[in-house]
Amino acid sequence: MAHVSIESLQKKYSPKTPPAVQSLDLKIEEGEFLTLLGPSGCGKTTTLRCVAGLERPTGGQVAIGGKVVDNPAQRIHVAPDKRDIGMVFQSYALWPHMSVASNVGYPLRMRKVSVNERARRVREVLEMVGLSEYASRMATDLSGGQQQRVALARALVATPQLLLFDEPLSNLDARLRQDMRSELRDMHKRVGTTSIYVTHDQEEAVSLSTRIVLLNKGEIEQVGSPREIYWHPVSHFVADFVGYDNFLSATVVSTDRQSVKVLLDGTEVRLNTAARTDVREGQKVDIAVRSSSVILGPPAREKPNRFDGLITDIMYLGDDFIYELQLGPHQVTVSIRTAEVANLWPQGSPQVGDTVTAAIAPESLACLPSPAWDAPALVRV
Amino acid sequence: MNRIRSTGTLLALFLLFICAFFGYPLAMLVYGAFRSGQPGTDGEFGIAGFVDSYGDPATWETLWASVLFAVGVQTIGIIGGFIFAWISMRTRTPGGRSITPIMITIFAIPTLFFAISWGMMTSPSGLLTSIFGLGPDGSPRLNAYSWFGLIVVSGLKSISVMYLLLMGPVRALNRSLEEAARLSGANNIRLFSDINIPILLPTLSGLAILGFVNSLGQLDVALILGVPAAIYVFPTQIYDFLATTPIRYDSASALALLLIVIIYVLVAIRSKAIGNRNFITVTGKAYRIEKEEIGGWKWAGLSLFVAYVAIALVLPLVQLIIGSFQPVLGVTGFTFKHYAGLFDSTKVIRALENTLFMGIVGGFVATVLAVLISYVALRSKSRWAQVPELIVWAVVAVPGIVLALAITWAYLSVPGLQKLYGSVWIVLIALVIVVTPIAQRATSGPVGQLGVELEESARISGASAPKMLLTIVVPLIGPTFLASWFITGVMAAGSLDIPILLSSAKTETVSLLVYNYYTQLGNGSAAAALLLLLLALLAAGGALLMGAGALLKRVNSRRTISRGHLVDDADPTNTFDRNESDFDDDPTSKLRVTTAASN
Repeated sequence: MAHVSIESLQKKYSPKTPPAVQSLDLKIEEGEFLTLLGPSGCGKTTTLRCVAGLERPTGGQVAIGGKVVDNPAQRIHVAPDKRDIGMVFQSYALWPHMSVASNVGYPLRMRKVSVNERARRVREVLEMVGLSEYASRMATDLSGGQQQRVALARALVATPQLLLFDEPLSNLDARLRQDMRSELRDMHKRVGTTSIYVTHDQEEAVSLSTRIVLLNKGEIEQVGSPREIYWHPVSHFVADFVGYDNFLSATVVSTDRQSVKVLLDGTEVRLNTAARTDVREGQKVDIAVRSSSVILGPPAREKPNRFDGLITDIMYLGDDFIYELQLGPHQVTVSIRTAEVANLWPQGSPQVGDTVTAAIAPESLACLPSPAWDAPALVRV
Repeated sequence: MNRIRSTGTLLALFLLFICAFFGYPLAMLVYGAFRSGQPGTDGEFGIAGFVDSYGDPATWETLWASVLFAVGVQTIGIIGGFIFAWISMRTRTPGGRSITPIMITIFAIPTLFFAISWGMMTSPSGLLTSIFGLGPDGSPRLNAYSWFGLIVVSGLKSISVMYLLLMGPVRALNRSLEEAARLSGANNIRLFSDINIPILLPTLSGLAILGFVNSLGQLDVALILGVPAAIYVFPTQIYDFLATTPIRYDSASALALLLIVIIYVLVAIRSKAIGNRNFITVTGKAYRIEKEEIGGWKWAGLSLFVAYVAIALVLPLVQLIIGSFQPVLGVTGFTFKHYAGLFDSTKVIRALENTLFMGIVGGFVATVLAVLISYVALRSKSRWAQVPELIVWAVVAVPGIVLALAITWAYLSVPGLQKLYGSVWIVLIALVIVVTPIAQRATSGPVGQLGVELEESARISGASAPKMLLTIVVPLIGPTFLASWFITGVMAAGSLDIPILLSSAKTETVSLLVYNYYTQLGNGSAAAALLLLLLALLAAGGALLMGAGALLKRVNSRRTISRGHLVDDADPTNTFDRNESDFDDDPTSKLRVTTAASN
């Protein structure tokens, strides 16, 4: 086990294109399960591959367990085979000409572990991933999920100081992905090896990680616990990425320790949002809320943060109802569990054209500096 | 109902034609081996030919020599081809982008060129002799008329073939398999020995057998460089039976049968042993396909390639040019008379016409046949639709000289067909049979990718069947068609083993004339001049092809724009571009597959 420290890491593939990773700083503690999350092209895989040594950074420094493995300025580059790392690839990367056992045993063979010891440890790790009876099969004869388990076993077998995962579940179907996800979590609980995990799937990131790093265009947008990332996005980009689906433009009225008070543009509606220290009065902001966090009720029911909206569309999705509300110039999407609808309106649910009251708890309203916001003087219509 | 029946009839006719065209000559070869006398004359059935040729210990010496020759050539070819494929596909070596075009050039140049130029280069006044000097006995140190010459000259050409066949597999090697090995602790050497070589092994061994089989049937080099040194291999032995009196058709056929049996057994062993064990899977999931920096090694790679180009292409060409201006080959002096003589000779003019005809018509017919065969196999639901493909695959292993012999039997034995013998058509037919399998390889991939829904959506959009063919199918396979036409045309035009048996005085081709000038008439300078003329012709063909390809692309994109489609997505040729750009710097990826059966 080891801690990893990445300092102002930069990776430029060509002088013409912007760097894939620019000046990234990150410390990963021993035993942590850290996820690099972001859309494709955000630099997450490049960062991972720089830690693996498969990519040579063009600037900055990478150290694993206190040992510098990359520092282009000092011309330090430790080859990937000298880093004592285990890695699980997106495409499994199992050698098609080897059996499951020789695939898994290969890292031990490279570390010159004796034949008997090797056999014992291969057996052990295959048992752990539940593939003992497949040891003599050819690796590529197995199903996708089994192949991924073999790949995991191969990464684990030599008890490396660091485990890397490059979107390991993205080739699996939805059900298998869920199973593997919980297996990965159990595995990490058991072996506790420091792990870096790359994915573009927020659900995966939230359920597996101790900490999430959200990357955008080669830079860190936000670092935090899954809970923080999920409920307290700091930017429009993060909120969008983790599933916020309502963005309403507003102007900050006042701020204090507990909350930020905003006025929705083009309406009389004032809302309290989650606290934020980096906004000030008069600033243009976007407030973001998940459609599932909006609560509906009959008109004029007493709740904080409430407003009336005109229903313009209703969609039935089976488990949920989706209501589109018109609120001044804004469109608010609200999703309500089907079972809840009957509770809310025992006399019959509202129809298109009806007005309903919506309420949002301040803590589920994120106040985000508007990406288009330049200066307070600029008034947008 | 009516429509369906007529397609069935068409298919049956097509099938019958393919069987007759490709299969019948081979059947007649078997017939000929068991029959004494010449084709078309009275003869008795018997096994005299077998007794005669198999009973002769010289035959078994020839077999041994053939094996030695083929093993030597393929060792050079595979090792060289692999090294250059690796340099070009995996490393950032200066000039690496020129490797593929140069290899295609070397591949397209007739074998005759290499044999004759090397013969000249190692003559007492040749270029290589001026470098390596004379031995103690006063003869040149390097002598192409020897085992050394035979193997090296054939090997140099074989390198280009193997390169073209290996560049795909080498590029398709899944990088993440290598990365997984590096992270498991393997250094570069272990990576190569534990991962890369085992993964490529099925491909390499398959190519080795394929190449071995081809070398067994190779006539040109053995005829020009081997026979003067009294080295006989199977093809030259067969030719010898037919070219020296008494002409022994039965012995030649018996020998040819043995060669075919050996070849088929090897091919069968290969497919049995390897089957579907192909580890090269283009999953497209590899993160990185860019080439690697290899530091100082890149200069070693560059030097190796420059050396190869020098001895395989540049020096031979220079030697031919020098020789063509010498009054008599090897004698210092400068004269245009050989060139002037070429254009004065009606023989040469006729040979040029014949060669152009063979190249253009032969290549075209072969490609059309190949496309039809693939298309029928793809679209027809009849279980017989795959038969033509199988028949063509069976022909792929038949050496040219053997096929020429088979054609002799097939056409001389039938009264009506006899009239074709001695005409230009018999040569054309034989050449088409020989090159169709190559055209088949070149076109089957792209034709196979013609999704039926592309055609169906064209029909739904209002295109009639012919219009659909013209606007959808032709543009989609057009570039492939041109490439295949060119490759097979070049092979047909440069062939020696077919015309040498089947051409009459009126239907000589340039290759045959070059051979005659060089060996029979002892006029090396004229042969050199004529050979250069042939190369110029092929080069012109190549330029024409590239021009046509560029034009086709332009026309297609303009047509699409003018109709106001969503330009990028609607342009069918763009799919080609996109496919090609996957193979980054390889403008001729379509040619890659074509080379399997040719050597």
